[in-house]
Amino acid sequence: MSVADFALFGRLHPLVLHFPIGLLFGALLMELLVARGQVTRGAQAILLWCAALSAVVASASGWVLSHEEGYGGELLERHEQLGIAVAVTAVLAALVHRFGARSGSRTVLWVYQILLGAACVALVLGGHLGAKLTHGEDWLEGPREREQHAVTQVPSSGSAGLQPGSELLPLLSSSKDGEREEEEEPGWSQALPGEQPDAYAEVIAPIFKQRCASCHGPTKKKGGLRLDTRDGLLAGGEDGAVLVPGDPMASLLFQRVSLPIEHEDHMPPEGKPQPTPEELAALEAWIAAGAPFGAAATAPPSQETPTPAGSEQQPAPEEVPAPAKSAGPPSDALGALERALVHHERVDPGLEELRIDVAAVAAAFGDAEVRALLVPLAPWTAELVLARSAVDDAALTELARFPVLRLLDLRATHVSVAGLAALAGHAALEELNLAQTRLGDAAVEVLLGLPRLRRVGLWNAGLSPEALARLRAVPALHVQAGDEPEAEVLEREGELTFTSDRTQPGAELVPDALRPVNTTCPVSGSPVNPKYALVHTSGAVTRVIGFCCPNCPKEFWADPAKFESKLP
Amino acid sequence: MSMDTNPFFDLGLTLTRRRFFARTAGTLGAALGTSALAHCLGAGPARTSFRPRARRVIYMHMEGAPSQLDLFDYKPELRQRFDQDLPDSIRQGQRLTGMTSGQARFPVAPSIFKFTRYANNQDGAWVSELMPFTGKLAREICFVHSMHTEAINHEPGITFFQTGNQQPGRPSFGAWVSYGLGNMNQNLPAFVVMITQGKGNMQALAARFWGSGFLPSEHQGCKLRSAGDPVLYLQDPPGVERADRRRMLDLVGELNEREAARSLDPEVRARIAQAEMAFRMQMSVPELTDFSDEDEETLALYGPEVRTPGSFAANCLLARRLAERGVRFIQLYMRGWDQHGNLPGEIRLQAQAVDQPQAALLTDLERRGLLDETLVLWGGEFGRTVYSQGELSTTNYGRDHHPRCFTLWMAGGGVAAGTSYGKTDEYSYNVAENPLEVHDLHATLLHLLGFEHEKLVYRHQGRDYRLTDVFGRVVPELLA
Repeated sequence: MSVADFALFGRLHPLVLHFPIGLLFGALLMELLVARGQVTRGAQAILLWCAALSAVVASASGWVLSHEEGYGGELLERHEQLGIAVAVTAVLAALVHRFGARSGSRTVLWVYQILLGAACVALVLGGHLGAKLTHGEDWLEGPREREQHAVTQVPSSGSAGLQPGSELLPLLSSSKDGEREEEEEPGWSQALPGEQPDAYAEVIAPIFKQRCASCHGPTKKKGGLRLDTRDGLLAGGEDGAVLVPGDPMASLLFQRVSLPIEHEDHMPPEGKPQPTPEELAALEAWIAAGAPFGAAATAPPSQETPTPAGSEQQPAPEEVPAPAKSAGPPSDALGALERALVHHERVDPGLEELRIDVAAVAAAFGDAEVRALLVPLAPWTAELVLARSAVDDAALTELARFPVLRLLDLRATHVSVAGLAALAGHAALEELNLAQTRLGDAAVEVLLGLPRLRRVGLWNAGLSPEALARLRAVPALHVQAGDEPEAEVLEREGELTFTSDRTQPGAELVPDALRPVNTTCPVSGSPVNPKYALVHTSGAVTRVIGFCCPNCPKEFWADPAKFESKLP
Repeated sequence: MSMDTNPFFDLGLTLTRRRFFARTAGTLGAALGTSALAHCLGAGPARTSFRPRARRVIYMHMEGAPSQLDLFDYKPELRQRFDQDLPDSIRQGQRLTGMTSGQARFPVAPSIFKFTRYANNQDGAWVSELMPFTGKLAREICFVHSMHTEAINHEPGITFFQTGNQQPGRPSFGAWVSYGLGNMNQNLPAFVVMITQGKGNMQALAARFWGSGFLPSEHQGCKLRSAGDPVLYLQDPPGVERADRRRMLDLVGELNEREAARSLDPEVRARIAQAEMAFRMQMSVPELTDFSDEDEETLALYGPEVRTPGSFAANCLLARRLAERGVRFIQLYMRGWDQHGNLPGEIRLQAQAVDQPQAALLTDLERRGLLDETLVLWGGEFGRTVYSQGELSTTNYGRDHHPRCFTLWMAGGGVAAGTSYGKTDEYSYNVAENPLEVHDLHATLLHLLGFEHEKLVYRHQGRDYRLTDVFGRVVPELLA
């Protein structure tokens, strides 16, 4: 048994609290009527007792409700104290009234009237605080203020409701119309020239503050969710995460907001001010862009205007400006990659540059996924492996804008020369794998126009030997086309003959005089090892006798005559 | 001590002394293990210290110990020493196995196979007629002739090569790589093992050669079977839909999570991870083993046996497919190189089974642009003796185990291609120049994978273990 079991009782608080409001003020009103003699004290007593009892029940249910999540803070405490004060003073007033009615003393009457008045005052104050809890901090002054903070800087244009920095616009256009517009300068007046505007702080946060923070804010966190801070947005609430960066339709927050207003799960609740269509569009665009907080790491201007392609390689390629990175790739974008089972790792443990490999989900990884998952990480992506994936020429247009892309693996994809042309003149590309694609000789021009290219894989890419020769003529470029010659044969052995004429090491060092007279050991019959020999004199003959091992000499020495016959 | 409800007393009831000690040892490991798990689920960073040259390893282990004298170690003078005794100055009291200690003589048995010198980036590499396809790729291969080891028999030899220690219980090389680099493709295991039955004398292969030792068990090698289903019990039985399997896994996962939180045992989390991996493999393994998307030219490259499941050719093709799909460590075992007798006949069959496929693997990786990032390793657990085991004739001989020198080769992944490292003496018995110890080899390979071998450690039983134990140094001549 815990407080949670009485949750239903707690939920009745908003219902029950109306009883003491009506009854207490009714009792207060009755004072006038009693003075005019139209109502007896006895009748008033009934009303007073009902008021007191209902105040107690309201307080009790309020106390149970306060244990539910989403309520907390100083506001709740004061409301609680005042509510209890109402109940206590109402009960005391009822008691004093009862005893006072019998005694008829004026003092008791005054005490009772003061108590009743105090109860009503506490009721007004406590009720106001309770309304703040339910309807938000500004429920009384609200309507006037909110109009002033309306999102006026959101122009309602046809294709997209928002003109944020350049990194959001292509996504907006493409997600709405499929067109791709490239904007060089930011479309807001607020952004300082040369500075990328902060979409979150200037557009999204005010939306949340007005439409949502009254119930999902610092004083009240319905569903355990706060929407007025970055941490609150990322942390989510009781139902889990509400934001999936890069995917508005998967974000619970956007789903709730997009539901029809009659739907019970629609947010904000019916009857509360609703976001405008422009605000909804802005929210969708912001989530689709990966929900960036703070100014996105600015891409250098060269991202938007790639160096013009030349027909031959420039002898001194210009330095790729290092992108201004704020704190590394955003963790929410990386999280989106991990959820999609795309592998990412640091190219070098000390640097922020990423290597991204879609091997796990290659078959399902297409242009849309490039836009949704990879474009938010463009400023950090140095190596990108899209081998065997479903990407097409459209993705290459996106990839052309990746500023630090050094390695691109497009093996076994459906890209063609037309798409490859989008990469023309990319200032950073060093390694390009185009094996098993369907290119043609026209690709040579594009490849020659990449200033930093030093390795290219072109096996089964449909290039003719002449085209490959043209590419191989470039000194710094290594072309892997699967046509390297095998290692040539330098020497071959002829017929083999086996002999024993080479002397063993150490054998030639034995002088003739010390060479044993026998070749087989007299004791065992095994071949002689010249190392084990001894000089033996029998009669007048002194010979060097060889043995096969260290043990045989002992045997021989024990009885030399026995082995006479074995010796030559 | 009072008997009222003291939470410490309750804990004491559930925790026997034995379990307490076992758990304390594991808890520290759990702290690391859970991070290893998070890392293996793709959430943590790799443990590399610097930029790697290689991102994956294909290790072809020739179980049984192939004879270096008949494959790669060219000793022409031995043909003039046919049937001579092995001099003691060469043998220097080397301990013998029980199989040859009873022999009275140790006659020199020169190789009856002809050698060819192929051009490489030095003065040519000698490869016998048994491996012509491999010889033609001499420009890609780095031969190491001066490997040596301590073990003289297969079990400790393979254990030493795979785990860095002759006694079992330590994680294998693949498990360390899986632990250190993490899994690139969450739909497949990071460490896959395939075994081919040989044509010669075969020795046993134990699963602990690709085990995870004391590392969390999701780093162990997953063996793909050669016949029937590649992985047993992977597919759902009739009547069980994939959605049902998903719901079952969710529920069991929830129960396992509670147990993991209660007992702090990292193995529970490993179990959850492996169940999830199996679920994903239901979709990924059939796609992997289906060769219908390979074109004829590629299949022909691997030779005629490529369509036979379980053959070395088929496993080489699978190795390439696994490499494409981001599997970190692919191990191929080829059994049957233990030619104690009848060497010429058996080794011919063995070499025929592996030569074309392994060359095709290298070529295939290279033209797809994968070879530069894939470290390919080929070798046995020790070498074979120059003296014959059993009868020696001009057409037949056998060779016994020989740990003092043997040959292995490497390719790809930042290795010094087209070179030969180390030399043996004229009998191919001792190492004459640049000996390479197994720990040094491991240290060098880990270096290519981006690790400082002294820093890739795991705390177990109070000390930091690593693949190279307390040895190992990186050999710069082996690096490109």
